[in-house]
Amino acid sequence: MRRRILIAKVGLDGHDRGAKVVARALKNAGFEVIYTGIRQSPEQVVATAIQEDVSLIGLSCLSGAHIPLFRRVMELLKEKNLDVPVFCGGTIPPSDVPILKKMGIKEVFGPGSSLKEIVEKVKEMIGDDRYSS
Amino acid sequence: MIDTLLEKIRNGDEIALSKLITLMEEDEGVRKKVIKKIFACPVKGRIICFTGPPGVGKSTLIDQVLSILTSEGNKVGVILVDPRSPFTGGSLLGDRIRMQRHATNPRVFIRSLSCAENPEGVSRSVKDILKLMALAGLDYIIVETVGTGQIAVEVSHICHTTVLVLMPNMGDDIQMMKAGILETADIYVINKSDLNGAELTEAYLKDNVEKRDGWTPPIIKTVGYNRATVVPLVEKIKEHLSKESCRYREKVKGLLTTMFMDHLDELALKFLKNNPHFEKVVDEVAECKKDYYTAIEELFEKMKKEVLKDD
Repeated sequence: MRRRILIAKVGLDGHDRGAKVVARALKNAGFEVIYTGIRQSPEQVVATAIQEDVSLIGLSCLSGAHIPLFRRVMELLKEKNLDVPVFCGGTIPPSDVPILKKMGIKEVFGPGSSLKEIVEKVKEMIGDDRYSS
Repeated sequence: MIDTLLEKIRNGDEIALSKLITLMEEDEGVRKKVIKKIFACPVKGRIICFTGPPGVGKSTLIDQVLSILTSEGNKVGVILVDPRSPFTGGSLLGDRIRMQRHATNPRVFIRSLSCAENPEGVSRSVKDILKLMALAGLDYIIVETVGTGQIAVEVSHICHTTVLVLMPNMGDDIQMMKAGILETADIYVINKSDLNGAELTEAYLKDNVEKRDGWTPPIIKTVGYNRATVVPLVEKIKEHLSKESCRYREKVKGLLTTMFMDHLDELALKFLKNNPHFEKVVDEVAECKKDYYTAIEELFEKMKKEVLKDD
Protein backbone atom coordinates (compact mmCIF):
# COMPACT_ATOMS: atom_id res chain seq x y z
CA MET A 1 0.00 0.00 0.00
CA ARG A 2 1.28 3.45 -0.89
CA ARG A 3 1.13 5.55 2.21
CA ARG A 4 3.98 8.05 2.28
CA ILE A 5 2.94 11.65 2.77
CA LEU A 6 5.05 14.80 2.75
CA ILE A 7 3.98 17.58 5.08
CA ALA A 8 5.77 20.80 4.17
CA LYS A 9 5.73 24.39 5.30
CA VAL A 10 6.58 26.86 2.59
CA GLY A 11 7.84 30.40 2.83
CA LEU A 12 8.80 32.68 5.69
CA ASP A 13 6.39 31.35 8.29
CA GLY A 14 7.15 29.82 11.66
CA HIS A 15 3.63 28.74 12.60
CA ASP A 16 4.13 25.01 12.57
CA ARG A 17 1.55 23.90 15.13
CA GLY A 18 -1.05 23.10 12.49
CA ALA A 19 1.36 21.16 10.29
CA LYS A 20 2.63 19.19 13.30
CA VAL A 21 -0.90 18.37 14.50
CA VAL A 22 -1.86 17.15 11.04
CA ALA A 23 1.40 15.18 10.73
CA ARG A 24 0.71 13.48 14.03
CA ALA A 25 -2.90 12.66 13.13
CA LEU A 26 -1.73 11.08 9.86
CA LYS A 27 0.97 9.12 11.66
CA ASN A 28 -1.65 7.81 14.08
CA ALA A 29 -3.84 6.87 11.12
CA GLY A 30 -1.04 4.57 9.92
CA PHE A 31 0.70 6.74 7.34
CA GLU A 32 4.38 7.35 6.93
CA VAL A 33 4.77 11.08 7.33
CA ILE A 34 7.85 12.96 6.25
CA TYR A 35 7.95 16.43 7.77
CA THR A 36 10.24 19.02 6.22
CA GLY A 37 10.15 21.59 9.00
CA ILE A 38 9.54 25.30 8.55
CA ARG A 39 10.74 27.88 6.00
CA GLN A 40 11.03 25.64 2.96
CA SER A 41 11.29 26.92 -0.58
CA PRO A 42 9.02 25.38 -3.23
CA GLU A 43 12.22 23.93 -4.76
CA GLN A 44 13.09 22.17 -1.50
CA VAL A 45 9.57 20.80 -1.20
CA VAL A 46 9.57 19.33 -4.70
CA ALA A 47 13.12 17.92 -4.38
CA THR A 48 12.07 16.26 -1.12
CA ALA A 49 8.90 14.85 -2.71
CA ILE A 50 11.04 13.24 -5.42
CA GLN A 51 13.66 11.76 -3.10
CA GLU A 52 11.10 10.48 -0.64
CA ASP A 53 8.79 9.15 -3.38
CA VAL A 54 5.67 10.35 -1.59
CA SER A 55 2.13 9.62 -2.71
CA LEU A 56 0.69 12.87 -1.43
CA ILE A 57 1.93 16.35 -0.53
CA GLY A 58 0.37 18.52 2.18
CA LEU A 59 1.38 22.19 2.14
CA SER A 60 0.91 24.52 5.08
CA CYS A 61 1.10 28.27 5.03
CA LEU A 62 -0.07 30.84 7.54
CA SER A 63 1.76 33.88 6.25
CA GLY A 64 -0.76 34.93 3.63
CA ALA A 65 1.58 34.16 0.75
CA HIS A 66 -0.07 30.85 -0.05
CA ILE A 67 -1.15 31.72 -3.59
CA PRO A 68 2.27 32.52 -5.14
CA LEU A 69 4.10 29.88 -3.07
CA PHE A 70 1.67 27.04 -3.77
CA ARG A 71 1.50 28.06 -7.43
CA ARG A 72 5.28 27.71 -7.66
CA VAL A 73 5.11 24.24 -6.09
CA MET A 74 2.46 23.19 -8.61
CA GLU A 75 4.55 24.56 -11.48
CA LEU A 76 7.67 22.71 -10.32
CA LEU A 77 5.75 19.45 -9.95
CA LYS A 78 4.57 19.84 -13.52
CA GLU A 79 8.09 20.67 -14.72
CA LYS A 80 9.46 17.53 -13.08
CA ASN A 81 6.59 15.47 -14.44
CA LEU A 82 5.48 14.44 -10.97
CA ASP A 83 1.86 13.42 -10.80
CA VAL A 84 1.42 13.63 -7.02
CA PRO A 85 -1.81 15.03 -5.56
CA VAL A 86 -1.48 18.08 -3.32
CA PHE A 87 -3.64 19.35 -0.47
CA CYS A 88 -3.12 22.38 1.71
CA GLY A 89 -4.03 24.07 4.96
CA GLY A 90 -3.48 27.24 6.92
CA THR A 91 -5.08 30.64 7.27
CA ILE A 92 -6.62 30.64 3.86
CA PRO A 93 -9.59 32.94 3.18
CA PRO A 94 -12.58 31.10 1.68
CA SER A 95 -12.40 33.41 -1.35
CA ASP A 96 -8.98 31.95 -2.21
CA VAL A 97 -10.21 28.36 -2.25
CA PRO A 98 -11.42 28.42 -5.90
CA ILE A 99 -8.09 29.93 -6.99
CA LEU A 100 -6.14 27.16 -5.24
CA LYS A 101 -8.42 24.46 -6.64
CA LYS A 102 -7.94 25.88 -10.10
CA MET A 103 -4.18 25.45 -9.66
CA GLY A 104 -4.85 21.75 -9.17
CA ILE A 105 -4.82 21.59 -5.38
CA LYS A 106 -7.20 18.80 -4.34
CA GLU A 107 -8.36 19.92 -0.92
CA VAL A 108 -8.07 23.06 1.18
CA PHE A 109 -8.34 22.83 4.96
CA GLY A 110 -8.80 26.20 6.61
CA PRO A 111 -8.94 27.06 10.31
CA GLY A 112 -11.32 24.85 12.26
CA SER A 113 -11.03 21.81 10.00
CA SER A 114 -11.48 18.57 11.90
CA LEU A 115 -8.67 16.03 11.96
CA LYS A 116 -11.17 13.28 11.27
CA GLU A 117 -12.20 15.02 8.06
CA ILE A 118 -8.56 15.56 7.03
CA VAL A 119 -7.70 11.89 7.59
CA GLU A 120 -10.78 10.77 5.62
CA LYS A 121 -9.97 13.03 2.69
CA VAL A 122 -6.31 12.00 2.73
CA LYS A 123 -7.36 8.37 2.47
CA GLU A 124 -9.51 9.29 -0.53
CA MET A 125 -6.73 11.28 -2.21
CA ILE A 126 -4.05 8.66 -1.64
CA GLY A 127 -6.40 5.97 -2.95
CA ASP A 128 -5.93 7.64 -6.30
CA ASP A 129 -3.92 4.99 -8.05
CA ARG A 130 -2.78 7.08 -10.99
CA TYR A 131 0.91 6.90 -10.20
CA SER A 132 1.22 3.25 -9.26
CA SER A 133 3.61 2.57 -12.14
CA MET B 1 10.65 -2.84 -15.51
CA ILE B 2 13.43 -3.39 -12.98
CA ASP B 3 16.00 -3.41 -15.77
CA THR B 4 14.79 -0.08 -17.13
CA LEU B 5 14.89 1.46 -13.66
CA LEU B 6 18.38 0.10 -13.00
CA GLU B 7 19.63 1.51 -16.27
CA LYS B 8 18.20 4.93 -15.38
CA ILE B 9 19.71 4.76 -11.89
CA ARG B 10 23.15 4.07 -13.35
CA ASN B 11 22.71 7.25 -15.37
CA GLY B 12 21.96 9.22 -12.23
CA ASP B 13 18.16 9.42 -12.50
CA GLU B 14 16.90 10.43 -9.04
CA ILE B 15 13.26 9.66 -9.71
CA ALA B 16 14.08 6.11 -10.83
CA LEU B 17 16.24 5.55 -7.74
CA SER B 18 13.49 6.85 -5.52
CA LYS B 19 10.85 4.65 -7.19
CA LEU B 20 12.94 1.49 -7.02
CA ILE B 21 13.68 2.09 -3.34
CA THR B 22 9.92 2.17 -2.73
CA LEU B 23 9.41 -1.04 -4.69
CA MET B 24 12.21 -2.75 -2.78
CA GLU B 25 10.78 -1.58 0.50
CA GLU B 26 7.36 -2.96 -0.30
CA ASP B 27 8.21 -6.20 -2.02
CA GLU B 28 10.73 -8.78 -0.92
CA GLY B 29 10.60 -10.38 -4.38
CA VAL B 30 11.78 -7.15 -6.02
CA ARG B 31 14.50 -6.83 -3.41
CA LYS B 32 15.90 -10.26 -4.16
CA LYS B 33 15.71 -9.71 -7.92
CA VAL B 34 17.52 -6.38 -7.70
CA ILE B 35 20.28 -7.72 -5.47
CA LYS B 36 20.85 -10.73 -7.71
CA LYS B 37 21.17 -8.42 -10.69
CA ILE B 38 23.41 -5.76 -9.20
CA PHE B 39 25.53 -7.55 -6.67
CA ALA B 40 28.51 -8.26 -8.89
CA CYS B 41 28.61 -4.71 -10.30
CA PRO B 42 31.67 -2.78 -9.20
CA VAL B 43 30.74 0.13 -6.96
CA LYS B 44 32.84 2.84 -5.42
CA GLY B 45 30.38 3.98 -2.77
CA ARG B 46 31.49 3.44 0.80
CA ILE B 47 28.87 2.97 3.50
CA ILE B 48 29.14 4.87 6.76
CA CYS B 49 26.76 4.22 9.61
CA PHE B 50 25.81 6.74 12.28
CA THR B 51 24.19 5.14 15.28
CA GLY B 52 23.50 6.08 18.86
CA PRO B 53 20.67 6.86 21.28
CA PRO B 54 17.84 9.22 20.24
CA GLY B 55 18.54 12.90 20.68
CA VAL B 56 22.35 12.86 20.74
CA GLY B 57 22.50 14.80 17.47
CA LYS B 58 23.13 12.18 14.79
CA SER B 59 21.10 13.99 12.12
CA THR B 60 22.70 17.35 12.82
CA LEU B 61 26.15 15.78 12.60
CA ILE B 62 25.24 14.17 9.28
CA ASP B 63 24.14 17.59 8.05
CA GLN B 64 27.66 18.93 8.73
CA VAL B 65 29.33 15.85 7.27
CA LEU B 66 27.23 16.34 4.13
CA SER B 67 28.32 19.92 3.77
CA ILE B 68 31.99 18.96 4.20
CA LEU B 69 31.90 15.98 1.82
CA THR B 70 29.92 17.76 -0.90
CA SER B 71 32.13 20.83 -0.76
CA GLU B 72 34.94 18.48 -1.82
CA GLY B 73 32.87 17.47 -4.83
CA ASN B 74 31.64 14.13 -3.49
CA LYS B 75 28.19 12.77 -4.19
CA VAL B 76 26.52 11.50 -1.05
CA GLY B 77 23.41 9.43 -0.43
CA VAL B 78 21.72 9.37 2.94
CA ILE B 79 19.33 6.80 4.38
CA LEU B 80 17.54 7.87 7.53
CA VAL B 81 15.81 5.17 9.52
CA ASP B 82 13.12 6.05 12.04
CA PRO B 83 10.85 3.72 13.97
CA ARG B 84 7.41 2.63 12.82
CA SER B 85 4.60 2.37 15.37
CA PRO B 86 3.87 -1.22 16.32
CA PHE B 87 0.28 -0.13 17.07
CA THR B 88 -0.80 1.84 14.01
CA GLY B 89 1.95 1.09 11.49
CA GLY B 90 2.39 4.83 11.10
CA SER B 91 5.57 6.78 11.48
CA LEU B 92 6.87 10.32 11.60
CA LEU B 93 10.11 10.53 9.69
CA GLY B 94 11.73 13.60 11.14
CA ASP B 95 15.49 13.19 10.74
CA ARG B 96 15.39 15.00 7.44
CA ILE B 97 14.52 18.32 9.06
CA ARG B 98 18.11 18.72 10.27
CA MET B 99 19.55 18.52 6.77
CA GLN B 100 16.94 20.23 4.61
CA ARG B 101 19.49 22.82 3.48
CA HIS B 102 20.88 20.04 1.30
CA ALA B 103 17.50 19.13 -0.22
CA THR B 104 18.15 20.88 -3.52
CA ASN B 105 21.86 20.05 -3.68
CA PRO B 106 22.31 17.90 -6.81
CA ARG B 107 25.15 16.05 -5.06
CA VAL B 108 22.88 14.86 -2.24
CA PHE B 109 20.13 12.26 -2.20
CA ILE B 110 18.28 11.86 1.08
CA ARG B 111 15.71 9.17 1.77
CA SER B 112 13.81 8.46 4.99
CA LEU B 113 12.67 4.93 5.79
CA SER B 114 10.60 3.51 8.59
CA CYS B 115 11.66 0.35 10.24
CA ALA B 116 9.54 -2.09 12.19
CA GLU B 117 10.95 -5.57 11.74
CA ASN B 118 13.76 -4.94 14.09
CA PRO B 119 13.20 -1.64 15.83
CA GLU B 120 16.62 -1.62 17.35
CA GLY B 121 18.60 -1.97 14.19
CA VAL B 122 18.44 -1.79 10.46
CA SER B 123 15.51 -3.54 8.89
CA ARG B 124 16.35 -6.17 6.33
CA SER B 125 15.30 -4.05 3.40
CA VAL B 126 17.63 -1.21 4.41
CA LYS B 127 20.63 -3.42 3.82
CA ASP B 128 19.49 -4.12 0.25
CA ILE B 129 18.57 -0.50 -0.40
CA LEU B 130 22.08 0.54 0.63
CA LYS B 131 23.44 -1.81 -2.03
CA LEU B 132 21.20 -0.23 -4.63
CA MET B 133 22.32 3.26 -3.65
CA ALA B 134 25.92 2.22 -4.06
CA LEU B 135 25.08 1.56 -7.69
CA ALA B 136 23.89 5.12 -8.27
CA GLY B 137 27.39 6.52 -8.58
CA LEU B 138 27.53 7.91 -5.07
CA ASP B 139 30.91 8.32 -3.40
CA TYR B 140 29.58 7.90 0.11
CA ILE B 141 26.39 6.49 1.54
CA ILE B 142 25.48 7.48 5.05
CA VAL B 143 22.94 5.51 7.03
CA GLU B 144 21.46 6.78 10.26
CA THR B 145 19.82 4.12 12.38
CA VAL B 146 17.33 4.08 15.16
CA GLY B 147 20.04 3.85 17.69
CA THR B 148 19.32 2.39 21.06
CA GLY B 149 22.91 1.63 21.77
CA GLN B 150 23.62 -1.85 22.87
CA ILE B 151 21.65 -4.04 20.51
CA ALA B 152 22.22 -2.32 17.17
CA VAL B 153 25.25 -4.49 16.50
CA GLU B 154 23.77 -5.77 13.25
CA VAL B 155 24.31 -2.35 11.74
CA SER B 156 28.03 -2.69 11.78
CA HIS B 157 27.84 -5.72 9.51
CA ILE B 158 26.63 -3.79 6.51
CA CYS B 159 28.83 -0.73 6.82
CA HIS B 160 32.45 -0.07 6.10
CA THR B 161 32.67 2.36 8.98
CA THR B 162 30.43 2.60 12.04
CA VAL B 163 30.29 5.85 13.99
CA LEU B 164 28.73 5.70 17.43
CA VAL B 165 27.41 9.04 18.60
CA LEU B 166 27.10 9.72 22.32
CA MET B 167 26.79 12.85 24.42
CA PRO B 168 28.00 13.99 27.83
CA ASN B 169 26.40 12.57 30.99
CA MET B 170 25.04 9.44 29.39
CA GLY B 171 26.13 7.10 32.12
CA ASP B 172 29.09 6.09 34.21
CA ASP B 173 31.95 3.75 33.41
CA ILE B 174 29.81 0.66 34.02
CA GLN B 175 27.57 1.61 31.09
CA MET B 176 30.65 1.91 28.92
CA MET B 177 31.87 -1.53 29.97
CA LYS B 178 28.69 -3.30 28.83
CA ALA B 179 28.95 -5.51 25.78
CA GLY B 180 27.26 -4.63 22.54
CA ILE B 181 27.43 -1.68 20.22
CA LEU B 182 30.21 -0.07 22.24
CA GLU B 183 32.45 -2.85 21.03
CA THR B 184 31.49 -2.62 17.40
CA ALA B 185 32.01 1.05 16.63
CA ASP B 186 35.01 2.13 14.58
CA ILE B 187 34.80 5.77 15.66
CA TYR B 188 33.28 7.27 18.79
CA VAL B 189 31.82 10.74 18.86
CA ILE B 190 30.90 12.73 21.93
CA ASN B 191 28.55 15.27 20.45
CA LYS B 192 27.25 18.34 22.31
CA SER B 193 30.70 18.41 23.88
CA ASP B 194 30.21 22.06 24.79
CA LEU B 195 28.02 20.74 27.61
CA ASN B 196 29.37 19.93 31.04
CA GLY B 197 30.70 16.43 31.50
CA ALA B 198 32.24 15.87 28.07
CA GLU B 199 35.71 15.24 29.55
CA LEU B 200 34.37 12.67 31.98
CA THR B 201 32.49 10.82 29.25
CA GLU B 202 35.65 10.89 27.17
CA ALA B 203 37.70 9.46 30.05
CA TYR B 204 35.18 6.65 30.64
CA LEU B 205 35.20 5.81 26.94
CA LYS B 206 38.98 5.91 26.69
CA ASP B 207 39.23 3.29 29.42
CA ASN B 208 37.06 0.91 27.46
CA VAL B 209 38.09 1.38 23.86
CA GLU B 210 40.33 -1.38 22.66
CA LYS B 211 42.54 -1.87 19.66
CA ARG B 212 41.12 -4.40 17.20
CA ASP B 213 42.65 -5.60 13.96
CA GLY B 214 45.18 -2.82 13.90
CA TRP B 215 42.70 -0.02 14.48
CA THR B 216 42.19 1.83 17.74
CA PRO B 217 38.79 3.53 17.58
CA PRO B 218 39.35 7.25 18.03
CA ILE B 219 37.16 9.41 20.28
CA ILE B 220 36.18 12.72 18.78
CA LYS B 221 34.42 15.55 20.55
CA THR B 222 32.05 17.53 18.36
CA VAL B 223 29.48 20.28 18.58
CA GLY B 224 26.87 19.55 15.93
CA TYR B 225 26.22 23.14 14.85
CA ASN B 226 29.94 23.97 14.67
CA ARG B 227 31.36 22.76 11.38
CA ALA B 228 34.99 23.13 12.46
CA THR B 229 34.51 20.48 15.17
CA VAL B 230 33.14 18.00 12.63
CA VAL B 231 36.09 18.28 10.22
CA PRO B 232 38.30 15.93 12.32
CA LEU B 233 35.47 13.40 12.32
CA VAL B 234 35.32 13.39 8.53
CA GLU B 235 39.11 12.97 8.41
CA LYS B 236 38.94 9.99 10.76
CA ILE B 237 36.14 8.41 8.72
CA LYS B 238 38.28 8.68 5.59
CA GLU B 239 41.30 7.30 7.41
CA HIS B 240 39.28 4.34 8.60
CA LEU B 241 37.77 3.75 5.16
CA SER B 242 41.25 3.52 3.70
CA LYS B 243 42.13 0.79 6.20
CA GLU B 244 38.89 -1.09 6.57
CA SER B 245 39.52 -3.83 4.03
CA CYS B 246 40.85 -6.46 6.42
CA ARG B 247 38.03 -6.06 8.84
CA TYR B 248 35.36 -5.73 6.19
CA ARG B 249 35.66 -9.40 5.34
CA GLU B 250 34.83 -10.23 8.94
CA LYS B 251 31.87 -7.89 8.75
CA VAL B 252 30.55 -9.62 5.66
CA LYS B 253 30.86 -12.92 7.48
CA GLY B 254 28.76 -11.43 10.27
CA LEU B 255 26.19 -10.22 7.77
CA LEU B 256 25.89 -13.58 6.05
CA THR B 257 25.58 -15.33 9.40
CA THR B 258 22.75 -13.01 10.42
CA MET B 259 21.00 -13.45 7.07
CA PHE B 260 21.37 -17.22 7.22
CA MET B 261 19.95 -17.33 10.73
CA ASP B 262 17.06 -15.07 9.74
CA HIS B 263 16.24 -17.28 6.79
CA LEU B 264 16.52 -20.38 8.92
CA ASP B 265 14.20 -18.83 11.52
CA GLU B 266 11.65 -18.14 8.84
CA LEU B 267 11.80 -21.64 7.39
CA ALA B 268 11.74 -23.25 10.81
CA LEU B 269 8.72 -21.21 11.81
CA LYS B 270 6.86 -22.17 8.66
CA PHE B 271 7.80 -25.81 9.16
CA LEU B 272 6.69 -25.69 12.77
CA LYS B 273 3.36 -24.05 12.06
CA ASN B 274 2.56 -26.60 9.37
CA ASN B 275 3.29 -29.48 11.69
CA PRO B 276 0.06 -31.13 12.90
CA HIS B 277 1.49 -31.71 16.40
CA PHE B 278 2.25 -28.05 16.97
CA GLU B 279 -1.26 -26.87 17.86
CA LYS B 280 -1.72 -29.84 20.16
CA VAL B 281 1.50 -29.00 21.99
CA VAL B 282 0.41 -25.37 22.32
CA ASP B 283 -2.86 -26.49 23.89
CA GLU B 284 -1.09 -28.81 26.31
CA VAL B 285 1.18 -26.02 27.53
CA ALA B 286 -1.69 -23.53 27.70
CA GLU B 287 -3.67 -25.96 29.86
CA CYS B 288 -0.63 -26.55 32.08
CA LYS B 289 -0.56 -30.24 31.22
CA LYS B 290 3.08 -29.96 30.23
CA ASP B 291 5.81 -27.44 30.88
CA TYR B 292 7.19 -25.73 27.80
CA TYR B 293 10.66 -27.20 28.07
CA THR B 294 9.34 -30.77 27.98
CA ALA B 295 6.82 -29.88 25.30
CA ILE B 296 9.41 -28.43 22.95
CA GLU B 297 11.86 -31.30 23.56
CA GLU B 298 9.19 -33.85 22.71
CA LEU B 299 8.08 -31.91 19.66
CA PHE B 300 11.66 -31.62 18.47
CA GLU B 301 12.20 -35.38 18.82
CA LYS B 302 8.98 -36.10 16.95
CA MET B 303 9.88 -33.76 14.11
CA LYS B 304 13.40 -35.12 13.88
CA LYS B 305 12.02 -38.62 13.38
CA GLU B 306 9.64 -37.34 10.70
CA VAL B 307 12.43 -35.60 8.82
CA LEU B 308 14.60 -38.74 8.91
CA LYS B 309 11.68 -40.82 7.67
CA ASP B 310 11.16 -38.41 4.75
CA ASP B 311 14.76 -38.83 3.69
